[in-house]
Amino acid sequence: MNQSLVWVSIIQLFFKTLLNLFQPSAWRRSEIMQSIIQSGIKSIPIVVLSTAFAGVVVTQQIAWHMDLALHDVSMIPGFTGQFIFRELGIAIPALLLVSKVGASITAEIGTMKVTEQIDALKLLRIDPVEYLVFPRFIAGIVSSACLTLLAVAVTLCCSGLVGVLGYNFGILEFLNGMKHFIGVADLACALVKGVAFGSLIPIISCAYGFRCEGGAQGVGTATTQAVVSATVAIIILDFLITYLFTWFL
Amino acid sequence: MISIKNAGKEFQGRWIFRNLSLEVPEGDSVVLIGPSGSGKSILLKTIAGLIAPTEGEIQVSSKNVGMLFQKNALFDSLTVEENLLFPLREVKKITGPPAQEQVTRFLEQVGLGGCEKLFPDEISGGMQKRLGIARALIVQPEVILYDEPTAGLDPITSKKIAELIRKLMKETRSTLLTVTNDMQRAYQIGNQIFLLANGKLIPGGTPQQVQITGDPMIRQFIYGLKSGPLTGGIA
Amino acid sequence: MSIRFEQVSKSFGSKRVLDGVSFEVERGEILFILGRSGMGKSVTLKQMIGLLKPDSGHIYVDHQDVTQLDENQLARVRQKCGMVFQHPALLDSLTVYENIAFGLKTVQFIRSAGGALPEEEIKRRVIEKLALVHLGPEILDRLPSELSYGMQKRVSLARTLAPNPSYLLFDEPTTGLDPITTNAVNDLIHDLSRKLQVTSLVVSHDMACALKIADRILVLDHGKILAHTSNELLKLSQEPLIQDFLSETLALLPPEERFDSLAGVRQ
Repeated sequence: MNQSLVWVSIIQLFFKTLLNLFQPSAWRRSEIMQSIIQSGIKSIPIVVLSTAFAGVVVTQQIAWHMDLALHDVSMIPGFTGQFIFRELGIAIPALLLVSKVGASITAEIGTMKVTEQIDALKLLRIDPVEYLVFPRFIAGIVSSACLTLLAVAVTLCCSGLVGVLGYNFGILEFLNGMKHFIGVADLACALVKGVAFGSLIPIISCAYGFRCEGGAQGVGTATTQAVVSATVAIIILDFLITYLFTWFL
Repeated sequence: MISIKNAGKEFQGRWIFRNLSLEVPEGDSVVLIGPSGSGKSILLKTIAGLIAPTEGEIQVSSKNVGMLFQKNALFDSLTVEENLLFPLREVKKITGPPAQEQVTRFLEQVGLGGCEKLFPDEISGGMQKRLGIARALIVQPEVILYDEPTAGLDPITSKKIAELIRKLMKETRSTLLTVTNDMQRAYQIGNQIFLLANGKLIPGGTPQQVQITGDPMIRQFIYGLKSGPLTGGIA
Repeated sequence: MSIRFEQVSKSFGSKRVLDGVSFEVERGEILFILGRSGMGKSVTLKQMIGLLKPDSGHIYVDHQDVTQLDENQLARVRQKCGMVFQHPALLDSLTVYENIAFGLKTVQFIRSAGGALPEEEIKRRVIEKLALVHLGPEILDRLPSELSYGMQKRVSLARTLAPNPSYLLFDEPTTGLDPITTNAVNDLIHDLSRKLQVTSLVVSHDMACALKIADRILVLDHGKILAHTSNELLKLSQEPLIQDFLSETLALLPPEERFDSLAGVRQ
């Protein structure tokens, strides 16, 4: 698959999907709910586990080095808080969603393509974008936003735990320390990223799925390529959004 | 009614067929036979509107076209009855008890009564075919395209499926275009038989006429003769 | 007798696919196993090479009861039995040469041959088997995707022939093929069987093919043997299922051949 061609079709699909926002028939409750359960609810355990682990490890590392270099641990809450809100709490759920949800969407749509189920839909005059992509798009945004908030909360808690148990912070003390360095802007940044990633992953995955050719092997190839592309897209977007927020605020 | 005028399809630098013309009158049943790779399935998909022809004009009298795909293309995440309820809801906007009733009746008609809650991979090949036919027909299309409706099935089941196709055609008075390699079914289903080979369409006539044809290409194909105009070398 | 089935039964869940089936296959004969769709026919083949185990009964291949063998011993039986599946299933990243040579490079084969074959010998065999399926050495470097379906089928046949099996098992070799390719494959099976003097079992739906090349035909129905006899005698059978199968094949023959071949069939 020619990479530039794929990106053209991804952009085309994005706009086609957006158009469905104004199409009442596209708002299929049961398909959207099912997708939210698949991509959101079922991802909760892995997100919680990974971010808890990351929160503990990262805070521990930062604190240890701070202590060693600066002999001052008062900055830990602020530093880790910022890091979590801006990067850690966002990147981890995003990358998890890419490999968990993105890959399965590509495989599902890809399999439907090679078994001609997409053709069958078209013949029944059902728009595949409306029926397959849009529900996953909406669900992706909702799930990602919620999971991002959840991830941030979990990481903060674990970070706090490290501070309280390892470095003799009081709970309120830790929270106040954070408040000095984190504001509404950071929360907004986290949410914007969550929504952006959540909208991008289903679109990229579906685009690769629709372009699938060649049977089982083709589905495998498409899935791998989708995961790689989505990961790259998220990294770039992450950088851009962070840059925008820090520049303008 | 299907009207094809000078249709051609090019793919990756090669013309699969060119200058193809065919008229299928309303209510008629045409069968297309031909060597694998001659473009029969592609022609069918072009008529269905899934692929655009490179040149030429294809007109179908109705927007309501149903198709049975070669591998059935059943929605494998839906149960047998959902595969039928789904098109009813989306295309005909029929839901609730009337929809359920229609679906149950249809399943009985194609001999799948009792399989409502099963998934496509839980039923046999012959039953999957019948479900594929039911799904194509439940929206009452005026034009139906069958792509190898009996491929992979044993002769007895094939015969039954062909009988079903024929029966449903009479009941709904639809226009049929069938692609098949199975000559026995071709004779059973078609009023007119055409051979698509080397990018050209050769009329064979009625099933009776075709069997006594003098055309060397058609003769070679339907009797599977080793040597003839279709095989320059090895098959 | 080279193959003998003794009271073999097999069920899948509540479905009795084989019910006390007993028959013998003569060395060098071409036996067609016909019947309705369902699992009985292919199951027979798979049990011969131990891919499936019967619920009861014995299967003897060259006087060895395959139902009692372990994996190692079964490997040797599989060496002797070349199975040709319906679809070519060639490995798409390997060339024609590599695909055919594949069977000659497996641990199994090397063990049974007493050592790895030198590359010249492998090449010689590959070209030899290609010639047997009427293909020339010019396609050796091609990939499967560059060949027509019919050619792919022949290459997969050559691949099965490479280790010189004494039995050839065909699972629906002509299903879904157009009439010309069907006859070409059918003739090839006959050709090879005679030339190599191997015993061939063909599972098929196609009565016409069976009538053309089989020495004997075995008809299975509802797990039982309905008939096991030569072509000529089969045509005289009064069983309705067999009559059904037979009358269907009439339409596939050119008019001038019809009365000749199927005299004895109610028209």
